[in-house]
Amino acid sequence: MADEKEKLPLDARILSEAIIELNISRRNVSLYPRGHSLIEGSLNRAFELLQKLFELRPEITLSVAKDTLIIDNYFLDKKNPVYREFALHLSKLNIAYLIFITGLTKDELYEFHRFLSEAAKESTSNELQEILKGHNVIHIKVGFVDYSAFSFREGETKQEASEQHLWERYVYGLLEGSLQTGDIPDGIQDIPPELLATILNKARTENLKEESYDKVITTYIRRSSERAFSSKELKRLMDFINGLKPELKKQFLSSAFKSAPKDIEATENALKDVSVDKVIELLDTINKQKVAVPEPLKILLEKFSSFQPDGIENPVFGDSIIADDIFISPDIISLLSEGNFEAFVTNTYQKEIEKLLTFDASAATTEKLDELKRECDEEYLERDFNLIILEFASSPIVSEQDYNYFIALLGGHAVQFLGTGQYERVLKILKVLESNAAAKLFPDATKAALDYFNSPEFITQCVDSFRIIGREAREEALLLCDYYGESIIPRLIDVLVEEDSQTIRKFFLSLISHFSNKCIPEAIKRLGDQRWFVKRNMLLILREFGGKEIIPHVRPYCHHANIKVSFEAIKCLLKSGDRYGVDALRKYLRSESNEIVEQAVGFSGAFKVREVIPDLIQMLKKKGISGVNLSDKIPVIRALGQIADPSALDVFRELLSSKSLIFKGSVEKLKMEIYMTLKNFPYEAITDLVEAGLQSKDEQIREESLKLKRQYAD
Amino acid sequence: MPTDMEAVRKFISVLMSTISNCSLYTKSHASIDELTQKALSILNELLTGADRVEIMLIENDLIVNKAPLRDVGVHGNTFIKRIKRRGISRIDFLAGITFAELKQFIADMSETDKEPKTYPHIKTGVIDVRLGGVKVDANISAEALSKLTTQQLEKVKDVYHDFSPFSKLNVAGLEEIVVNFIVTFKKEANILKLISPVKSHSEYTYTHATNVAVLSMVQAESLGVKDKLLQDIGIAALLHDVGKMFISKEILDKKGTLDEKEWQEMHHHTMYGSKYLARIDGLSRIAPIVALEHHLAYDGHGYPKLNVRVRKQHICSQIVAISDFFDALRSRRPYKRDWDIKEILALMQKNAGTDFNPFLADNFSKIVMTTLK
Repeated sequence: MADEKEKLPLDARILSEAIIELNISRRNVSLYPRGHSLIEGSLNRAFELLQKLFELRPEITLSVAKDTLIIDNYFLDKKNPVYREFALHLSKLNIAYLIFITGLTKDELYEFHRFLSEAAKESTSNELQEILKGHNVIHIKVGFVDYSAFSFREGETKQEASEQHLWERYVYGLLEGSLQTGDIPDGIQDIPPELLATILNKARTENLKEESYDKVITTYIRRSSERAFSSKELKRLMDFINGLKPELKKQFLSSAFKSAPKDIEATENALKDVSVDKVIELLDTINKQKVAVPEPLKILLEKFSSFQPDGIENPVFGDSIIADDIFISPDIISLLSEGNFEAFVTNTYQKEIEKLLTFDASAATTEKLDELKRECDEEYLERDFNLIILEFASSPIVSEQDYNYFIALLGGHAVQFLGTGQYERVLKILKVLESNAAAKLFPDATKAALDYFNSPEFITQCVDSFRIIGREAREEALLLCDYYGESIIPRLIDVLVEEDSQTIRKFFLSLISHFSNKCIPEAIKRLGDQRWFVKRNMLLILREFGGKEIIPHVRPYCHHANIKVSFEAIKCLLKSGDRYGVDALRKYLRSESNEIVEQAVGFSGAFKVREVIPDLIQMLKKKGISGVNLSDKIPVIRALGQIADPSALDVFRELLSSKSLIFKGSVEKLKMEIYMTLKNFPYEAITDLVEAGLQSKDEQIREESLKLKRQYAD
Repeated sequence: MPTDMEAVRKFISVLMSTISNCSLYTKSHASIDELTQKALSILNELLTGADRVEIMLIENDLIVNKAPLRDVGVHGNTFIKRIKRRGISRIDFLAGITFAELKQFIADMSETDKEPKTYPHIKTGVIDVRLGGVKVDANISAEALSKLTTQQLEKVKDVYHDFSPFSKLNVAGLEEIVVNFIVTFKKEANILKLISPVKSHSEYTYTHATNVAVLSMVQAESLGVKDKLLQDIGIAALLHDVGKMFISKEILDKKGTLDEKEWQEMHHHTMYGSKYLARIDGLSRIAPIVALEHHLAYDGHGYPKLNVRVRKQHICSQIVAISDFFDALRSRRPYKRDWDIKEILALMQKNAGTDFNPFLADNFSKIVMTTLK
């Protein structure tokens, strides 16, 4: 197929120029309102070109093959960025072809652009058809890729040859007209000639009509009835014909030459790049099959066949050969002449390789198979591949275009690594980028990449990953937290407040605690959150990491409607040594709710709040009327024990000397509890109690007293 | 109702993370259940008001519910590779799918060798062209593919001719060549006989690439490698020196000793080749890895020097390095004679542990000695 614009016929050339204008107007329509001079200018130019086109033919088809545009059988230059962009835009909309038809108006063209701008990239063909209908574009027919032509064979897997099998079925579909889709895709072009021949050889020829072959040829060779074959097509056709059964050869040749070139110049052009060998081969085949060949073609074939082959098909420049775009010097030509070539690979070595091919794999060792398979597992390969990309991203040999490509890949890799908790790899990517930024390597691209990795979206992905898999890689997660510094704190706190699982909350608290007092501002900010548990969690953070500066922010929560918030605030203030917290605690010690009192007592002990000792002593002195009341005093004894102020010892002595006949068991428990707390007091202050304990009838008290005495002696 | 493609991308992303975690850790890993549940939730949202989510793979494009899924990202590409390797081109997730089913599917997908199973609400299979009641004999004769013809050899050439910085690699063509190699193994066809008549400029490169591919695949087969992995190793071996296409012809064809600068440039062929192959869609990752590492040496002392960290040579690179070494010495070049097999194997053994993986070197010697005795 032709690549160069010069080879395009006039109508195709006008369309290719129109495409450039269409692409400009397409972009403008998406940017500016109708009537804007930029839109009108490009729309007018595209429209005028299309009108010129319609003077030559009533309609023209533009096909799309992913990134390539095809006009009739001409591929427009892939390297042209405009064609490529237009093709990609169309293929993203699932468009397989466009037919521009005479009668097209400028308004329709504008509406078509609007359709191109508005249509969603991932709509189905039917949805796109519907959207297009709404734009009332009559003179541009749009064909969409029809995925319903592919059916499902459940439970099967694709074997090596099944690609061929798929094509085989496709060709049968074409031959018998049974393909259940209206359009023939470009894919048939991809079938290797010899394979197509093999498939056709297997067809049940008695059922096939000549027009079926015509159809395949037309599709396969993309022959235009108005033009000669190109040399490439002819070569392709020869490869194909050579693979056919004799009875099919004739039928195919007849079909193929039905509309062969009518003028000798066109034929000569078609054949000039075909090797003499090929021409002779073709002629020979035609003669053998007794196929009627158009006269100009016959003359030319004979003319070509009379040439003496010179063995070199490449263009020659002086004594050199130009093969493709490679200049081959005479030295090399000589070096690679037959004699020298054989010298590269000796006959002996050839035979050895042939023999190696007979190696019997059934006796294979599987000693290293597991290692090999493990290293070839997708995950491991992807990790290795990532390291390669990192090498390129830090290598001086890459172009900016390559760099951008690899940086984009790294973004994807990073997300993949987050999904599997491979934080050290994410860090590695970040470090390479940081190092590139410092070295000013492609600064714009590097900055854009770093912006992405530091964006709230990416940081949120990191934290999501911590939630799911972070505990398995705690140290690495902390390193990633270090990299992000304070910017990750809000996201970590988000999880802490929302998470139901205590284990995960604990893990996140450990991550947050890594930042120490740096998380204070965020926690203070969130105290205003309406949810009680958020307040409590923030107070918890403030208690853990805050100093005196948090006091004014916390005080208001000491009397919160939710007692859990209040106690957390009190704990916070107690830890900071704030008197306000003590007063609040005192209030709760006097609460009518036993539960609240018990908690307040607990905090008094835990935070060693000396200021509440009188309140606690008062509680101990309060006469109980039941055994239950007595057991309520146990937490108070513990709290006093934790505070360990000798001023509490007098009330202990009173309790130890008390006797109760009714609640003897409860009283004994209280006494025991007192002895358990004595270890916190200075020994000098409790000597009398220890001595008395050693004389006690209660064995446990005696043991505890003995322990205290020994500890002191040591 | 149109499919929410963003949700599909998210589903594939979570699905692949789960499969990855299954591969990397254990199936009982704490994250698996949570991720599976997450994937199921997204899937159930996609299944709201629909009886299935249909994912189809055509070449390298994912088609979801008959609409193409664009911008699939790294997870999408890994998903494509994984299902391709299993020979699947369509997966349907049906309404009613359970957590246990999805978890089992994920566990099965994480194992390379496991055959795809049938699940009550997950259907896997291949796509076919929809025909109207035509009965077709499905199997093409293996013989049709078993012989490497001159035309196929031309394809090897085409593939290499395609390697210019301005053109794109024909991956499909490569796969075909390697598939044919595999078939040829079984049919005992003669590869080099078909190669020898070709007398064009780059023939030595083609021959070397082909020989290295054959020698590498023999090694891989001898280790019990089969199917797609064997094919991937073959392709990687065939392409190991593709970076030389980016080295100036003056350096490549220089008969005398290369000076320091030229030698450095020659070393770059590994980076050039790998960089080029890394950008090819649909090519196994083994190819760029091998292209980069085939001169790295077993103990890492070779080239290129790596910036990011010193890496262990991948086992496939170790295999190709052995084939490369053997073929380079066994071939005759303008500046060197062809070495005797025993000389090569002796040198290989001497360098085992430094240049070559000792086990693979030993294994290669055994293959050569038993086959060529």
